[in-house]
Formats: sequence, C-alpha cells, structure tokens
Amino acid sequence: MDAARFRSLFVDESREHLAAAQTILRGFDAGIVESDATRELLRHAHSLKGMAATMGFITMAELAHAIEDRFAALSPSSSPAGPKGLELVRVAIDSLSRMLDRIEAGASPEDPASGVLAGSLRAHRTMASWQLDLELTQLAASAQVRVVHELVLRLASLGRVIHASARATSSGAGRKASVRLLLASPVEAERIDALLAEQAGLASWRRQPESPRTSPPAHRTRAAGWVRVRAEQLDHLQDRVRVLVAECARLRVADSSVHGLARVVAEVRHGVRDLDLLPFDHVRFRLERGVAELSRRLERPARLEIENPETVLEREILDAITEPLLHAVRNAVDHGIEPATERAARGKPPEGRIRVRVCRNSRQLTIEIADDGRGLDPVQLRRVAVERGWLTSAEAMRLGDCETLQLVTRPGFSTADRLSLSSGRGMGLDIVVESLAKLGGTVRIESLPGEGATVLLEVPASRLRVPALRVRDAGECYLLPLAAILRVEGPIVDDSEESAWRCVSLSKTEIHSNEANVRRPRVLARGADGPIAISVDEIVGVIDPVIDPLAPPLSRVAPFSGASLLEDGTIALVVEPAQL
Amino acid sequence: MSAAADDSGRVICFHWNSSSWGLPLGAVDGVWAASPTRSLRGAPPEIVGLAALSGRIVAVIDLGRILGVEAEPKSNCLVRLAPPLESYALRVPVDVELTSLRHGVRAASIETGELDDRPPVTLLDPAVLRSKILALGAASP
Repeated sequence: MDAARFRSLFVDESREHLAAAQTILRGFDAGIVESDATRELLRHAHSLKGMAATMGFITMAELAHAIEDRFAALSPSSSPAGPKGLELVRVAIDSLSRMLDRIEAGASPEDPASGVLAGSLRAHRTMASWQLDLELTQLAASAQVRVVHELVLRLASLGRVIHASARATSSGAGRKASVRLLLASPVEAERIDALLAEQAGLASWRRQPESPRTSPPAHRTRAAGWVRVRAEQLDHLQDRVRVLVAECARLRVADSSVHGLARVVAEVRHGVRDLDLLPFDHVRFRLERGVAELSRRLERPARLEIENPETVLEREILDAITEPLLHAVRNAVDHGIEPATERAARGKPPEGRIRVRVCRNSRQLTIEIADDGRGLDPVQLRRVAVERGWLTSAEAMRLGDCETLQLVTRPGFSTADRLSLSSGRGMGLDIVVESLAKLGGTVRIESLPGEGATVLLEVPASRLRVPALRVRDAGECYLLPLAAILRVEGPIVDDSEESAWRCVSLSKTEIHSNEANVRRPRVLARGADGPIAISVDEIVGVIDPVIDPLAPPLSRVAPFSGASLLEDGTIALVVEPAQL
Repeated sequence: MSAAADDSGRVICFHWNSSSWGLPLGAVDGVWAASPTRSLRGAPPEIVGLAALSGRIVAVIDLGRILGVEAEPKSNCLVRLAPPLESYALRVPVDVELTSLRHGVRAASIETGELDDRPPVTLLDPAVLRSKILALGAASP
C-alpha cells in the first residue's frame, strides 16, 4: 500500500474517531451520559494516539495521549470534571481535527496550540480518582464510625472524597466492617498510601485506580451500524451503476427476457443512490462549535437550535452548504445578537437564540438561519450604500425595504461600528452568496429592526432528488416535479373550471383554450401566475429519477431545469411548471 | 494551459469537404456512434440536443455549425470531450482521423517528403471551444 493511500486511510479513520468523541462530548453537554461514555472517549483517544504514532505524527500522538490520560483518571460514567475540563478536551479535539486537515493537505500536522493543550490536560490529569477498600479492625460500632470519620477528614487534605459506602457484618467475635471510599486527588499515590498506613483502626486496605483501565477493545470499523465509505469510492460506484443501467437498457431492447435483470439493476441503482444521503444532523457539531466558540470569545451568550435535523440531504449539497452555513450562524452571533446588557435593556432574554430550520420539498431546499438579535435597519443600510457610492441618494430613497436588506450580501459590506475578529471584512455574506450560486441557489435576507434577522439559503430542486410525474407528449418524455403538481386529470374531464386555467402543452408553446384538448389527460400545476393546465398525451406514472443539471448554455433554456436518463434508456427533460 | 499551443502533438481530425479541423487528443474522451438525441425546444441551434453516452447525459454540439462550415449530407459520430468539458459531445462527420501534426502539417507527410493534397488542419484550442460553447445563445435575443 503506497504512502498516500495509507495516509488517506489514516485521515479517514482518525476523523471517524474524532466524530465519535465529539458526539459523546455533546452528550455530556446535554446532560446525557451513557454508562460507558468516558471509556468510549478513552478508547477513541487511545486509537488516535496509536494511529498517529504509527504514522510518525508525534505531536498529534502526544495530544491524543494527553486526552486519553485525562479520561483514564475518571470513573466510567462521570463527566470530565465540570465545564472547564470539558472545554479543554473539546479544544484539544478541535486541534486534532485541524492537524488532520493539514495532514490531508500533505502538510506537517503541527498545531501551535497542541503543546500548551497537552500540558493543560495533564495538569488536570493529576486529579486522579482512587478507589480505597478498607477493612476496619473489630471495634465497637461507634469507634468504627469515629475511625471512618477521622480518615475522611484526613483524606480531605489530599483531595476530595467523592463517595463512601460501608458494609458491616456482626459475628460472635464482634463487628466486621468494610468501607469503600472514592477519592479524587492530585497527589502521588505514595502519599495516600502513607496516610492510610498511619491510620489507626484499619485492619487492611487496598488502593486501586477508580476506573480500572481496560485495554481498549479492538477497532470497530462498524460502530453503531455505520460503515465508513470513501466519497470517491461511492462516486465511482455510482458512475459504474449508471453504465450498468445504460447497458441493461440496451439489452432490454434486444432481448425482452432480461426484465428480471433490469429490475435488479434498478434496485441496485436506488440502493447506491441512497448511500449518498446524509442527515442534516451531520453538520450539527460544527455549527454548535462555531456558535459556542464565538459566543464565548465575544462574551455574548447564544444558543443554537436546529429544527428538523433528521432531514436528509445529498452529500454533495451538504458538503457545499456547510461552510456558508457556518459563516451565517457565526455572523448571527457576531452581528445579530446584542451584548447581554443591551438585550436586558430591550427586555430580551439574556441568551441570544439562533434557530436553524431545514426544510426540503420537491421544489427546493430551504435553510433558514434566524436570530433574535438587533436586526437590520433599512435606513442605516441605505445611508451606508450611499456613502459607498453604490447608490445615489435618490436611488436609495426609491429602494424598498426588502430590496435594501439584500444590500448586505454585497462584497465588502459592513455596518458594524467595529471590526471584529471573526469577520473583519464586514458581514462577509457575499461569500455565502457565492457558495450558494455554485449550487444554483440564492440567499435572501429578512429582518425586523430590533427583533432579529433571518438569512434564507435556497437551493433549487433541480439539484435535489425529487419524485416526479413522468408524462409523454408528442412522442417525447418529460418529468414534472411532484411538488409543483396540484392535480392530475384523466382524458374525461369535468370542465366546470376550464376557463380559469391557462392551458399549455409541453411540445408546443401555447394552446388556445378553445382548442381545449379535453380528451387528453391534463396535469394541473402551479404556474408562475396561478395554476396552469398542462395537456399531455399520456401520464406514465410517478418515478424517483436521478436528475442531472443541464450543461450551460442549456441551463438557461426555460422551462427545462434538468434531464434524467430513465431506466429504459430514454432521456427525459425536467420541466419547471413555473417557467411554462 | 492551452493544449493547442503545442501543435506537434497527437490530434483528432474532423473533415468537411471544405476544411479540416483538429482537436488535441488530450481534450477528447472518446468517439461514439451517433445515437438518437433528445432535442430541447428553445435551445440555441448549434446544440443538437441531449444524448446518453455510457450512462451520462451530454449536450451534443454541432461543431460544423460553430465553425461556420457548410453542412453536408454525411453520417455523423459523436466525440465526447474530456474534463472540464465532459458534459459535451461534438457531432462531427463520421470519418474522423487520428494523426500527428508537426507545425500544423501532418507528420507523416513530412517524413515521406510527400505533401498530401488534403486541406491543412486547423487546430482548435479547447479553451476557445469552451468559451464558444458557453456563449451559445447569449447573443440572440
């Protein structure tokens, strides 16, 4: 196996461990602690350490080691000692993630923060937990209680006694009692031993680390029902399946007995395609981190909420929108959410709220990023636009509020009084616009001054996988996105509302209403200005096609938004009823 | 990075009666038998329609029309272009020729010293071809 391939495997596998660790940390945040969460974290850190060391990435291995030690000192179910401790681990995991980025880019993984981080983690690590099992000498019950009490007080000088439990059994010879104490302490084990040795009233004692370090289990590449697949492999597989579909279609023309094969090919095609769908939740961690980090730095409390995180998106789309999304949520913290004092003065809750709502229908994918911050003031925006020389005063006056708001997406726009670290060049929404444009999407801004702003990212359906109605007209095949369809009528129609519909044909531009092909089936759909009736030769049925965007300049040809190679080898055009 | 700048490489040539044109081999993905195309109403006239080549949908461009050479009643084939133009195929007369050019002249004729009487090959720059394709339909209202 060559070095590059080995390295990319290493990066992939490390990413998987980091993602799993991040999920567990998120659980701690939400107060959900799985019984073996710490041990799982330990295992991921351990694996990362081992792999990094094997690859010769020593700083990376050391940092992972420090995380591992940090968790090794904890009991299996406790969370790592408060928000401060967690924060450190999180920062360390981010640092590891950055190192991976660099390794993937073929650079050295050095991260300036890593040395300090490892040190800080280790400083915490000395707060080890010990389990002390004590057998008391046979004494009267009251004396035994005194012994335990005294011991707990003395141990408290070394650390913190977290937990104590006692079991006593009476026998003829007297009372036998065993006590178990859990001690968290930063001192060396020897000092604990010395203290125990000089304690009167102890028959015997045993000290052991509280979470017995089990050797990490062998790698599971199939954790929790998931299998990691390289994106390129998936692309390749999809490409091969396309060829399979095409070849199968040719066979089918030649030999009608291959229908069974054709069905299997169709199933494989759908199966492979669905591999490429990911839940939106996939990017949750990055967004949460983005908000949390900035909110801490600016000391502006903010909370991120994601609605419909289970919505599935195409990998390609998810990849493409992650950065713009991150930009938009950070923007909301930086420019939207007011400082706590200002919020209090406005009667808003001290913690700002950023709501990300994902909504997909068969016409488009919409992601809404709404904050409850100060909002955008059209008056101020107009002033800035005039100052910049983008508009004359007269033009600015004529511009409606809605259009004025869109000005913030222009490159170099900023109304902030200060330059901030996170977005020194202003709002930076132009970057978001640019990224969305690559997907054929758009960015829209809505705002109520004083009440917040909403950024709407919209990706058109032609880039999504949507169910569609397959129809035939004049011997050609067309697909109509299902969401745009109101109703389908067979050849026999009740023409009571006939006159209300504009009647169009797919093969001809316009049909006169009195030409009214009432004997032909019609698809009633949402047009640009109200419902339209699309007259067709035949309605074939609903399919779930793979839609390819049209290459420019065909992408500009209305009403077509894409093309799909159907399983019988014919090419169908996707029609947007709104453009008819 | 223009492949056309190096005019001594291997070239795929298309012939019309009046002229011959060549495209650097590196700009070509493969040659396919003409397959039925799906036309698009409203598309620029230079774009014949869509065709499926090996499971991929490509836009079929009438190269002769782009070059302004006279169309002839010849059978055609499709030349699918290599990335970044993989979404396009050129429709050209079926007698494509693979040759090596040296300074715009067929290498074979230099070696044999016999200049052939065929028309000289004009080399197409893939970058120029690309901008021509992208600009199709933009000028017409």
